Amino acid sequence: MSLEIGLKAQIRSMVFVAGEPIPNFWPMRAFIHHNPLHGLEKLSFEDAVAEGQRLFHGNGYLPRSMYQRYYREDKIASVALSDGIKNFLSQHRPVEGIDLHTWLMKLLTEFEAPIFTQDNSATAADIGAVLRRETVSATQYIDQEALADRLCNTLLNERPVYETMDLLFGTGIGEELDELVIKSCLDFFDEGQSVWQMPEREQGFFTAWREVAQRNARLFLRGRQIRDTLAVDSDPEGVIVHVMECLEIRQSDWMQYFRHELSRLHGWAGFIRWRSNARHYHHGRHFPGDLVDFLAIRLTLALALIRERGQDGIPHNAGQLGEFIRQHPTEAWLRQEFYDRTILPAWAQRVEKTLLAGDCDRIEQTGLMYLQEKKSREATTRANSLQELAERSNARQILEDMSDKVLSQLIRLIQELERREGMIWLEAMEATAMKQLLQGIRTSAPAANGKRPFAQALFCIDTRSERLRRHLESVGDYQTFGIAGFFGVPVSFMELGKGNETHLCPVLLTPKNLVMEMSVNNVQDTVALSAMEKVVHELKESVLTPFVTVEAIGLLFGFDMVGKTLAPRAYNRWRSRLHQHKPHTHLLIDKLSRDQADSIVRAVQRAVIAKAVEHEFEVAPEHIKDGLIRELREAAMGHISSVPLLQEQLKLDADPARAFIERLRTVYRINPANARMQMERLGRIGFSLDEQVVFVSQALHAIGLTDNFSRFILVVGHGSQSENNPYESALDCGACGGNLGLYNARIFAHMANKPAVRQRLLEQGIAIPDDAWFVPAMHNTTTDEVAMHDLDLLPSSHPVYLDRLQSGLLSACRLCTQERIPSLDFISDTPSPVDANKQALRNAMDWSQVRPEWGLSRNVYFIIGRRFLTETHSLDGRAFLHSYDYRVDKKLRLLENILTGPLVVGQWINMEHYFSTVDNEHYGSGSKVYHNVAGRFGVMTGNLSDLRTGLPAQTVLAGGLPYHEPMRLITVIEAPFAQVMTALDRVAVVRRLLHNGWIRMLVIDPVTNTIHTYSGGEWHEQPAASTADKVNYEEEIAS
Amino acid sequence: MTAMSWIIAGLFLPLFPLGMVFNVLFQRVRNAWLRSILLLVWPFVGLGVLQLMPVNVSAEITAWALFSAALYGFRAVVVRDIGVWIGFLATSSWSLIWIALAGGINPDQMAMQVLAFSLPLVLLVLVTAELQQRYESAYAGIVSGIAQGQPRLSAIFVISLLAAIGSPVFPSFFVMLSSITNIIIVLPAAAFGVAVVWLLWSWSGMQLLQELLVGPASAIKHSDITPSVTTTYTLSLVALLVGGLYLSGTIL
Repeated sequence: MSLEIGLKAQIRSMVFVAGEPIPNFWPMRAFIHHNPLHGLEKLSFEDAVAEGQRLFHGNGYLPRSMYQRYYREDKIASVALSDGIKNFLSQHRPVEGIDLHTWLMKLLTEFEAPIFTQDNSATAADIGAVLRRETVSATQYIDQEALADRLCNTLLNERPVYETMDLLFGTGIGEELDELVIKSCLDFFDEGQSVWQMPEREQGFFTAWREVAQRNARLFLRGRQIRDTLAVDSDPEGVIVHVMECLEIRQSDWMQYFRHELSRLHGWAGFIRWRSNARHYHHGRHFPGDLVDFLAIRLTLALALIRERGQDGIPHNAGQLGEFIRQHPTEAWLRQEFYDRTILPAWAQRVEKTLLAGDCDRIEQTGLMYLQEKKSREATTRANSLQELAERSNARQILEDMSDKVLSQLIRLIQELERREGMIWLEAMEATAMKQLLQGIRTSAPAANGKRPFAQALFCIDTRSERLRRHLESVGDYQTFGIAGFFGVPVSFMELGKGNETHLCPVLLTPKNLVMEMSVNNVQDTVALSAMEKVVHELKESVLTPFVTVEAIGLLFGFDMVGKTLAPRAYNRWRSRLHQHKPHTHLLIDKLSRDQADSIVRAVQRAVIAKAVEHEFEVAPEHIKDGLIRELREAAMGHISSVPLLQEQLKLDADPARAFIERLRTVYRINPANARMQMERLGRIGFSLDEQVVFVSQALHAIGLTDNFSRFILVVGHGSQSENNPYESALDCGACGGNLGLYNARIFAHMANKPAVRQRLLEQGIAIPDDAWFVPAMHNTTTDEVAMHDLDLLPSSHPVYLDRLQSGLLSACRLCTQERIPSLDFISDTPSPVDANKQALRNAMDWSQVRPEWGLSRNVYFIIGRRFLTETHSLDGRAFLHSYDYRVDKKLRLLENILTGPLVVGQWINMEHYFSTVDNEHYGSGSKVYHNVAGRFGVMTGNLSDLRTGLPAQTVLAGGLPYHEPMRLITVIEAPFAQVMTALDRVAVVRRLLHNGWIRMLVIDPVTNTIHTYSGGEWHEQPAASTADKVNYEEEIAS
Repeated sequence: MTAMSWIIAGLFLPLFPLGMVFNVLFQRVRNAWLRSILLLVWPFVGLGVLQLMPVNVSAEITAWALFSAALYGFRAVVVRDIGVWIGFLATSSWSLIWIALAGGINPDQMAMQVLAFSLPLVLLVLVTAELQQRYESAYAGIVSGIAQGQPRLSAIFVISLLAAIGSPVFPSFFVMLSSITNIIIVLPAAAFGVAVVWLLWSWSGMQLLQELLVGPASAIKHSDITPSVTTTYTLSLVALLVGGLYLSGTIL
């Protein structure tokens, strides 16, 4: 069978649409924070959460008991919750004789769990009967048709066939299928973890898998005939169509069916989805695979398993399953209750026996009795809860006198409230957080003193910078600014000794320019230890050698383990001495001229030819003369046809000489085509002067630093330091694509220090004095140390001030660690700066430390405005701070850029933390303790699982309870309201996020001194709080 | 030995299919104390019969006993209700008494062997009752995630179950070990069979633990056992350990 092109395209487009809600998963080498429901952002937050629940089975809100804890701790103000309930009640009809507001407040704040679950066996009449102390009416019969309809609706619609089989017959296909698919994915997508690679991966995922699967003896021996399915078509689309037809799925349901299949292993599906679209990704280019391949493999294996189980007489396609449910609704219901594990525990044994006996009459009888029991229990539980609620609301008698109709209305209202309560709690919590922020914020600018600060520092907007900035400002005459940590310079970077490019910018951008790192030291030999490490690593990775390796050198690892565990700081210090240190480097930042590029290509070619002669003819380097190399290069490039020097010096005949020239062209790639390609690549290196001026000017304008430059302007990138941590990249700079921010800082400082750039900036009105110097620095967020770089480039006038600068940075670092450590490791409520610093250093080096730092946990605010807004208010490391001065942004381009880039990345980070906290098992990645690295690009729980997306429990939870307080990002913009509206109109993505409730927004209008809050789909204006109001609020909180 | 004596002995030291009687009775009796009494008394009736009318256990009886033990052991693998599982484990382990007899065990030691099998099961019945009291049932899979909700009860349950399936150094471990070593020379195939039965117990026990301890915890919060109850169970387990060491000959 071979499908028509039209049908193939249709299948591809269906899979494309089906995969849209699946969040992309980036390889963890450069962890990208993302919203797990990013694909659903076109929906409102509330609807997307419900859809996420349906697709990924993840909860979108914390349990009520957790919100109640926040309520008790004043993190949710009573008045905010009350407002939420009032708003809810305004959308519903009142219930006669009941003070609903009081009832619902009591319900939410005093009942630990919802009183109305989704079960609906008991009717209002049954509950009413229990309330009146009457007997619940006996169930005489089961309405078979209604039951069958309900079951068909829940068990067949859009649900994969095997899931229905698992639910009705406990076949366990889903679990086994997932396992088989994961193994196939691990085989194909491996990036060097396995010693033996899957053959023919270049052919693509489906083709390579197909070849292997047809020879898979294990599948064959267990009777899973996949050959018939694979014989149908060589293309994945054809196989997909065949399987869907075999399973008798209506074509109109295919897209939803595909979506459910993909969402079952959404980690793997997300990785494949990202990979198939990442054009620059090396492994993706060489070993292609997409969601169509993935789906075809999954469906092929599913069909094999379904048919295998179907041999036992179990219905095994949608038609047969529908027929079974229609003919035996009671049995189907009991089966669903039993295999879905929702059965009343006391009935499990009895129902199992009944189902095994297979006697229809007995099944009907047991079903009826079970229904009656379930109904009675449900009615009693709900009646008791309602009674308790009434008592707590001082309305004890009212329920007994209530008619069934009114009771039904009350129950529906409570059910609706409990369905929506997550959103009510969340909005109340956010309202409280907004109010608290506004109480601490300064809305009017202090008078400028005009004094030149000792030093200025540009920090990343990352929440971890807030603490350091605050402490640095407190220890001396420092002025700080916040800017996205790539400093507005998107760059592709090639690190010294690495052959691949890394994108140092937010994933939203694709850099055009390449910067290379070059060593300025002599080439060093690999030290003995590094070579030994390589040998040991290869011995460990091989198939057979580990058995011998353990016996032979296992003890050495024991020594390493003891050192790393008992004295990580001292041991790592000693061990680092054995390693080769990275040489001093310079970055190729300036654009190369054509002559320079040509010269580089020639130099590289000469070096390669010299090596080739050395290797091929075993000639010592000192005997390889320049003339010979020149001649060989000319010959390989096709400029000359004979090579007399080669023949003479190496005593070669014409044929071997021609053969060597041919090898130079083909093997060593000394040919015109390759030279052209190298020239093109070299053309990407560096930035032109125009580009440098644009980037520096844009960054300085964006943060409002256009005059009064200090002697030192620190450009502080950031990164983290930890051991044995696959999530290390998640702690690095998100604005640099999950990498260290140092290189961007070095690049930016280099540009800003360049006289030609400064000259052009002066023409734009930015006068950087000659004694102002941009110094790149690196903020280690695990230890809070700030290390300055490229100090050898410092002008001779500056070293005299370095001591003061370093002392200020050290003080800020220690104060910052002192503030941060108590929440991370309990050493004392008030540790000394020295002790705190020691603990932080240990965390950075301890390989058993699952939480080296809290990272971006507890982030909640994104503040765009001038520093004075929060200068005097500790934000406790919870705010992204982006400097912005609306007065220098007449065209609003800067605000638009901030909204488009940093704010969107901030929202991804915020949502990643939000969902990883509210349901760490489904949206997060569970405990790190059970993680294993998979294929060198992800982690799995245990030895085989879906790729774990999201953040681990240790990043967002403490002692099983949320450390991160999950709220949507509260964005504060300090600018005239009208200007913000204009900017929002121009940035559709942020407007959509705001209108769909993915972010909250406040606008502080410094011109009118008003605050505008977006809530309930509209803007609400209020005057900025006076000092007296703030004092009252603080007293209110204190009381 | 009369046919009736054989039947009585086969009923109380269960041989297939007579073991079904005990299992049906054990499932009907829901009270933990009655179940405990059953577990203690039942095999001693069989022992009494054998002591009254000593028998020479033939190779056929040995094979039948081994088959019974394996069958009930295998049945335990697919069972999820812990009460039912205890019944099958009891019948499987008591069947092995016939193997011990074939190995030429001293009749004075028989009672100790029977107690070594029964006492851990009694403890498990009592712990299971704690579980049933909280969850209405002890059906693994339907009840899950107890390690999260009731850590103390879970710990006691795990150790009791390990004691029941003959883990070192509980009494049943040494009984199984001596059964194997006693017959390995004369009946090596039977020794291998006993080892397989032992493996089946472990397999079934681990499956129960896996489904019961981990997985989604109940939405309704149940209390854990109190520290004093935990201490009582711990002391019982320590007593079993001491008994095991006594059986091993380490302490006299």
